[in-house]
Amino acid sequence: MLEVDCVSVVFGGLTAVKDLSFTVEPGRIIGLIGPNGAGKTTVFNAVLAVYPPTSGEVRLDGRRIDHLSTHRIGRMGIGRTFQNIRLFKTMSVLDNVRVALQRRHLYSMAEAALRLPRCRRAERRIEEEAQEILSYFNLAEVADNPAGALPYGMQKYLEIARAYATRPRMLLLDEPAAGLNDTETDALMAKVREIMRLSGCGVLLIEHDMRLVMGICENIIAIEYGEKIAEGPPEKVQNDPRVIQAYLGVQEVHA
Amino acid sequence: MINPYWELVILLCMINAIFAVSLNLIVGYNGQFSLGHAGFIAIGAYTSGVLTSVLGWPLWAAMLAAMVFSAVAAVVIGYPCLRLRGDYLAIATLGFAEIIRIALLALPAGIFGGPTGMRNVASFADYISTPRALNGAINLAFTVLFAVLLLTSLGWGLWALGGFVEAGVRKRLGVKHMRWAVIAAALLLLGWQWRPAAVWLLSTFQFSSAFSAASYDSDQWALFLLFLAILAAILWIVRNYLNSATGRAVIAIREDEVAATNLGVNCTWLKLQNFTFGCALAGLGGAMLAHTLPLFKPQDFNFFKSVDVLLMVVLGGMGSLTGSIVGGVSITLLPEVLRFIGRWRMVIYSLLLVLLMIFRPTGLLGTAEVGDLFRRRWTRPPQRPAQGPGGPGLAAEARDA
Repeated sequence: MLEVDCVSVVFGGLTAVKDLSFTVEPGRIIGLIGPNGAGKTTVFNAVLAVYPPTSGEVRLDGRRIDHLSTHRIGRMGIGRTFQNIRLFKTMSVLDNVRVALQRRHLYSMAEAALRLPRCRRAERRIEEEAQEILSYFNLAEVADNPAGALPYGMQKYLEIARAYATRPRMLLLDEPAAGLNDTETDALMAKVREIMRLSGCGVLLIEHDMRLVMGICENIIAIEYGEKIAEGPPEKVQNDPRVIQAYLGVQEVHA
Repeated sequence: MINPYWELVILLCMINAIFAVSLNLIVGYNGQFSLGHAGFIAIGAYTSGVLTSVLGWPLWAAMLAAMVFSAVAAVVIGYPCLRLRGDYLAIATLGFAEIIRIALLALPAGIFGGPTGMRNVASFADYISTPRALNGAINLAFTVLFAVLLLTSLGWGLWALGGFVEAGVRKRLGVKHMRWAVIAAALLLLGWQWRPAAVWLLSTFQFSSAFSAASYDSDQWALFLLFLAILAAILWIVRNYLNSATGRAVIAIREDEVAATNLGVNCTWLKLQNFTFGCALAGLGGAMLAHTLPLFKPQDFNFFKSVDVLLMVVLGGMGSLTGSIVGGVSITLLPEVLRFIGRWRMVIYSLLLVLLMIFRPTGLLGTAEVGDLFRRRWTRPPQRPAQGPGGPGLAAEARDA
């Protein structure tokens, strides 16, 4: 369970996120919506301590994580995808996944340099697991291609596969449907729901596609200027006057 | 036997290949731009030189100490500097190399030699003793080996150059068979200048004196063998390292540091570790240099040495191990091979580098390895069709791509 408790992020004089609180339970999808520049990605970065929160607490399964460094949080089990895909472009598809899951099969650098048996065993296991994940995401065919040469849709899948390979307890997806058409989006989200069911992780989702958010999320948090303006099931948030205002603008009535 | 001058050139080729491999780890594979490699080479050279000549350490211990000293220096300079990126890191490492050079000038001349450098360091040959009866035959074998190596690589270079010209000319002018024209031109040139060419070849590879007293006294083959063995061992270890979990993470940092961090890769630590590894190898190369050159001085490890090594990496291809070897060997050989030009030699040399960077900005090999070139030509793996996953739209997109 991911708990965000009264988190604020301040850059100089600008408050990007203000006293934001929410929880993501395992096995549930929470949507994070808001107009452009509302601070959605900053929330992700605060959770992962890319920009450590100025105040407030972030807890993963009851343990505070906001004082840890980003790579430690990644190891503790928060996977993430990016708004603009960030793959290791010249590395092979297989290697992209291998980098993500090799944390669980450690061997020393000396063993690696001399190719000792323990290293070879670990490498075999890493390779097997990576292939398994790739075939689960229908990427086994292109395992040896450089990741940057894949078509856009496959890159999206690969990024999710890579995040999944860290065996996350919480998955943060930043606009997974951006640039995909409706059929592709549905297929992708079906996959996300499937891995959520299989691994029991929770999902926090940033998305602009309202159709998608309303369809898939059990709970939605709407933010504007870093502040929460509404929270609840899709129908409720959809009809919330402040959300409508935030998206469509205020109709000023002059007396 | 090979004449002593070219013997030195061949040994320097191998040492420079080690430098290029070690810098490629940092610049090519990890994407950290270091301009201070000469500093670490100098630390290696002076450590090994002082330990053997002044303190009388055995060679292997001194070389090991050279690696350790360079590694320690790498940690000291890398810990604060690797938080910097791009140009800033380059400037910081450049400053470090200058500090080392000037410190060597200032250190007691009785031990470190001051500005005139160290000249009484024992050479590798002093540590090696080979059975005299074998020297002649094995020297001849190595002479033949290097002659064949030179001629085949010249031939391959000519073939590649011809292919390059052919591709360019066919695209622009539609003229075919330019490769053969290039080769014919080269052969004509050789036919016209056959006498100096033959003289050069025979004075370099002295086949006729293979069984002379000088050849029996020379154990140059043992040096070649030793250097080749060290180079091969380094290559094997570095390749294993790069194909391991650590190596993949190191390359991932080059590709995207933010994404790597989110996957649990400790970027700061890994960059430092990789930098230290590269610098330790540079220290080993420096130690080999100290026991190969008759003389070395602080001025040999100035900014231009760092640039030279960087040039080898870029020319060979960043992210290609065999490319580094090709780069190291070419940058060492080219100025020597161009000696027949005379006073315009360095101008032609620089011009060649400019042309190469214009037409081949990724370096001679890019990120490919020499083995890949042959594998592609000889086995031709079946083209993998990119099949789409998931949604139906993706498969179509994949086919288009």
